[in-house]
Amino acid sequence: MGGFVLSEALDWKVSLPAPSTHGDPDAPLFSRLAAGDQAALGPLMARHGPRLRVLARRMTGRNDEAEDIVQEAFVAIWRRAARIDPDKAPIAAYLTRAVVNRCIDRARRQKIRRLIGLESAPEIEDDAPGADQVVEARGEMQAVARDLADLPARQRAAILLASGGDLTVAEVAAAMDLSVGATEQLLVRARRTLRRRALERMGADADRDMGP
Amino acid sequence: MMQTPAGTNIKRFERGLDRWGSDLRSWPGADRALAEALLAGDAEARRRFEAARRVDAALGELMRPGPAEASIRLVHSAPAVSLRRIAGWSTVGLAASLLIGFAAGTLAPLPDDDDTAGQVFSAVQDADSGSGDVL
Repeated sequence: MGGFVLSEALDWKVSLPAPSTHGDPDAPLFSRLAAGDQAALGPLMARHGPRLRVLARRMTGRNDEAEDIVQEAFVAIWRRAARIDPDKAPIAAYLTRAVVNRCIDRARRQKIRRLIGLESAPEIEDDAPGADQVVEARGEMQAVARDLADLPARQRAAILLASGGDLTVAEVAAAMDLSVGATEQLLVRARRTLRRRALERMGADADRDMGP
Repeated sequence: MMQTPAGTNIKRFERGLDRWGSDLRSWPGADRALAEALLAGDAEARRRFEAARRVDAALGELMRPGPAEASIRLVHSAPAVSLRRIAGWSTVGLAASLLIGFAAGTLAPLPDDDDTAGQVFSAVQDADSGSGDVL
């Protein structure tokens, strides 16, 4: 059977249809940035900063790291603005890719440091408590956050991007510089792992409810 | 072992959950119809669906920007690297300098043991006085 080989798929870069910059709401700001207007960075950050910071925070499990990564991504886009072709992908995709790449690099370095004993397993920072959150849902959210931390970095990035609510699989693929097929494989694997862990928790809860 | 049709359907249902998530509106027609039929009559399918639904709900919550994300700091000049990282690298640099200094001090021969020390000193003296050609 000709099965789908993920490692091959990951190497197969997608060639996206060139979107017109006319449809990209960031195009005017980006043009200013590419022309050397630093003031254009502020509105770009205001527009994309919050979602990128959530993404980085969920990728790294840490607020301080997330802030560093997002700032570095914006600075990188700013510095390379003249070399970025906005006809190839929306600016939002470039920014997302810059954040995802940094998160994946960081995860890789962290893994090596853990292997050689320089770093212990990361602690997931707790969310600030919200009055409107039900305790049970909050418990599940934290459990899923812990399960996310165990996923390979690319799976984690794909499922987080897809769960943001406003990206299609093709857009997630563009943001990760992967083919649509490879991205779908990452999503399937991530969902399967997270779903099975949730199923185990439900089984454990049911056993607890049954009592001895 | 032969798999029952119900078991086959559950497998297909699970594959759908992994591929399209727990929002059945995004499923293709035939798979969606199968999923709805299973959910109506199969407790195990409902349990698996509930697990997927909980995960999707949690992921949606996790990706919602909170107050911390809304107040992102703006970068107005070329900051390149955060102070925290610079401090980190400075610490590494200081540690490396100390280590190299210690190694050099411990392993390098004493000036008295170095036969060439006098020659180098003379060459530097010559260079300083404009008569040497070593430097």
